[in-house]
Amino acid sequence: MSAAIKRIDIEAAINDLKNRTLAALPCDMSRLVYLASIRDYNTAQYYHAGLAARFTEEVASSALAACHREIFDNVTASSLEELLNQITIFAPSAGTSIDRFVVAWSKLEPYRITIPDEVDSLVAELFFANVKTALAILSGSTVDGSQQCA
Amino acid sequence: MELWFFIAISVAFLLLLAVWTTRNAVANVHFRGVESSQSVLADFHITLPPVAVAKRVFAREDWEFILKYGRPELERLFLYERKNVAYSWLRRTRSGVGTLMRLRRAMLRVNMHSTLGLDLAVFLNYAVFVVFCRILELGIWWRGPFFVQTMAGYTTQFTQSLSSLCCAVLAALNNEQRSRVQAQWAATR
Repeated sequence: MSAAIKRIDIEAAINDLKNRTLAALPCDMSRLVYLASIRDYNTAQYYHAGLAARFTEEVASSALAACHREIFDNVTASSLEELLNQITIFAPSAGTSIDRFVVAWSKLEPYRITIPDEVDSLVAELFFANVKTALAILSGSTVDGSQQCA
Repeated sequence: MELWFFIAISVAFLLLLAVWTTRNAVANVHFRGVESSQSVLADFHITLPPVAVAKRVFAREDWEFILKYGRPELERLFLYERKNVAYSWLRRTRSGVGTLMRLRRAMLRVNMHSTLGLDLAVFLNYAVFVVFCRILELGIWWRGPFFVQTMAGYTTQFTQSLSSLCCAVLAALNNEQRSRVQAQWAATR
């Protein structure tokens, strides 16, 4: 497949993904978690059966990676207040209460594996710091910087 | 004694005046013809921190949001986390600029043409950058990154300008000159 054709296909796949799958999710935080969840942790490849059926697996994986990076950029560019709002919207959509969500995320820190591949380490560090702070706001309890929440 | 004091003050004033008048000399070197300076610098294993990170880290917006809660423990956590990111940014920026200055010296050794005015501007602005980095480090430690926003803006501007200057020079080199720069650069690492 020539590079130009592949690029056009990837653009089409990105638009398809945004219009069909990602538009149904309530916020960028939901989309970020979703895209991280369809990535194989062993190979860093993304799998989306519907998208792969409409395009090719290679094109689908590239489109998913591109969307993942774009959404991560949006989330890290947002203010702490916007991030807090997004987490507040995302938690109930994940089928759990805010309290249980905050406890689980504070303890297990699953947000650390939601970042795309080849992210600048400084951007990742800022994202983790902001999520940790947002969780502390939601928990309403003290989280000392030197210890984990029990 | 008083004479030396006044001489020192005069020299400091003249230096500041020189930096002020040459502050745009580095920034005015425009980078044309290559899509991204980062891709050019990547050939020399130089990665600079993203500008967007500095804007976010040093912005007061998040701090003012945290203050609304009136919870000292939350303020402490936020300051602790944000300061760590600010220190990381500062380390990366200092390291990146130091590497860019070494690259510029490597290019000069390969007989890159430069003007005395530009060399002086780069030197003076770099000297101010080094001082500002020290002040930034102290400021971040003492009050947090939000109170040194202007200084962080200057260091970011200088970093971007120096990066653009190096990339503009590299883009203007022919293949033979570029190979010599890369060889000179490899020898200095």
